[in-house]
Amino acid sequence: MTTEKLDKTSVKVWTISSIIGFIITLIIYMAYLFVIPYFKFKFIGTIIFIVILILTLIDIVVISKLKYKYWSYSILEDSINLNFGVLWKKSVTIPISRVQYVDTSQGILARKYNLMELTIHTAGGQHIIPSLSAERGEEVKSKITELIRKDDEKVEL
Amino acid sequence: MNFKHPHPFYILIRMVKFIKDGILPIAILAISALAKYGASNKNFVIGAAVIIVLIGIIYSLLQWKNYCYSINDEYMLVKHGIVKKVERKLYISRIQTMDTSQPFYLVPFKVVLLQLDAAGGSKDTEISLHVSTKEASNIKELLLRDKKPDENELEKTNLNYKASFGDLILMAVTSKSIFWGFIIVSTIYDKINDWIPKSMKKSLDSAGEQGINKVMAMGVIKGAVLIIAVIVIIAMILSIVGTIFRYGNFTVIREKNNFKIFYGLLDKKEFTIPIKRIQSVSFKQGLLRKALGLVSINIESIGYGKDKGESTMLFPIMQNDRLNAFLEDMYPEIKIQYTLEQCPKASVKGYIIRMIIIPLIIFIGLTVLLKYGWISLLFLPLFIYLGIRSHKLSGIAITEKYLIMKSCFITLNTSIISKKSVQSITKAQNPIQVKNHLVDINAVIQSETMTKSYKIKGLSGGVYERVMYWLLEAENYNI
Repeated sequence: MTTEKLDKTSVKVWTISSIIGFIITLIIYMAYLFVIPYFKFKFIGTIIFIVILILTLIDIVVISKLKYKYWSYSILEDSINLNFGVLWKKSVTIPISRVQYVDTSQGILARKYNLMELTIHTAGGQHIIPSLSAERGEEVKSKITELIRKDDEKVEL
Repeated sequence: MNFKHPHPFYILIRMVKFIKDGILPIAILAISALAKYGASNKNFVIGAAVIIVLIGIIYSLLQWKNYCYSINDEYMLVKHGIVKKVERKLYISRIQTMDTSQPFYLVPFKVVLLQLDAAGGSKDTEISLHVSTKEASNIKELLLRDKKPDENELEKTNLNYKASFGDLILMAVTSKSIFWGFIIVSTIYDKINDWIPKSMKKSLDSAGEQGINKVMAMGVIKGAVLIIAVIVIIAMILSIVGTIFRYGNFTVIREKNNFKIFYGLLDKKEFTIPIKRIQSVSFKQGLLRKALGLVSINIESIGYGKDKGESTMLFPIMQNDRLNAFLEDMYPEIKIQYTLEQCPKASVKGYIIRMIIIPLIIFIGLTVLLKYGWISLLFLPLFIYLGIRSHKLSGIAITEKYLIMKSCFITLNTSIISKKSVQSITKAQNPIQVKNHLVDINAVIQSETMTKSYKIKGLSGGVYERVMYWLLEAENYNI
């Protein structure tokens, strides 16, 4: 089984987006402090915010790296396998014959770092491989498309 | 090509829709007009109303006139639209389902709503037409022409099962909706004091006083029991009446390649479900039904997700011992032997925790808030038992063509999933499960809107790999 990893830059991108999330939460918290005289449960609100802020901080420092460490995928003749999850582990098997089509997309941040997100569509839903380098993304996409084509031929025979 | 229009009743339906959609803007317009010209100017208001109604009539008429359909050997063509003309071609070979439904207001006019669906593609029904009952069967015949011969052979051997009156009563009495009926009736009972006019209330009170006196004489507890009994009985009657109107005349017919299902006393429904489009069959047993040995059978097929699942009922309720004969006659394909692989002992803790966590939070809350709240904690063993029960009943099995997943929270759900409908399988493990080599297995099947999947928690570690190989091996097997 040839297991492959995501692009290394993904750690950086995830960290940056976590920092953005942190800043947004901080701004909301400031706004909350500003209107706090109108709230009844100041104490609970503050605790919730502090918990959220701590969680985002942990996210920035550790989670991005661990997420990268545990994310892997493999594309085989007959199936696509995904493995991910830091504490809660998940594995997904998608038979090639069930794949309807594949598409790729890029967010603003991802485009800056030349990353790509691959979405695999089946009749029952979709699965995402995040943060592949743009070249690798195209490669994987055409590989899967090729496999689908082969599989279709098999069925016709 | 020879084009036909839908039944003229369609005009009325369009008009109602026109009014329904337009009611808000019209109301806003009317209010602003009234504010501007004053309420005194009645003629203006009436004039405006007449104009709006006229526009509605003309609009609906035009819609009907522009709506036409035609069938030839290859396809069915539908044209509609006034400004934006729409033409839709549905190839006969692509038609997957043909349903007719008849809400109560269509019954006197002998009009049905005919819905044709193709596989995959858009989420909406491809074609829906209001036509007369006769025309509907004509269209069906035309579209099924090619498939007709082999069906004819089997016409005489077609088997059917009907839900008897007793079945429906049993279904109503053991259904969960009884619980809701109970809540609704008791809320109404609560609110009724505010609704009834005072004069009426007085006479009711004096009439009820004797009754209440009797109740009081029995003591508070007996009185409460009596009131609850009355509420339960009323809820039960409501449930029975509702069930009979909804599912009355439930009949399922097995043709060679299709199931035909029809039911309903007021809203008549009819479904044709091709066997090969069925993805999974589920046997459901709630707590009460399990104890009484009753089971309801549901099927999941492609193209039926939008009707909130009711269309997927294959048979509303049945005694366990009748099930074998039913499957033998109606659906021998899924009458299969299998040995269930149960969850290992290590996962029983997880099952108990999942079952008691929410009750426990509620019970602790009650203990803190109420004086005798701690009494609720005495119910905890019951939930622990339910957890053990659900662990004992859950399991998975693999046969050549089917994946059998038996899961139980309160309701026991045995699903037989055909391998060709499994889209992907997922293994999930929480940190404790990683340590204990346990896995949750999730099998996703085809669905049009939301992801539809079957899940079993706390299976032994190797199951995922086995299911995975089974799923992939099946592919090679087909070639």
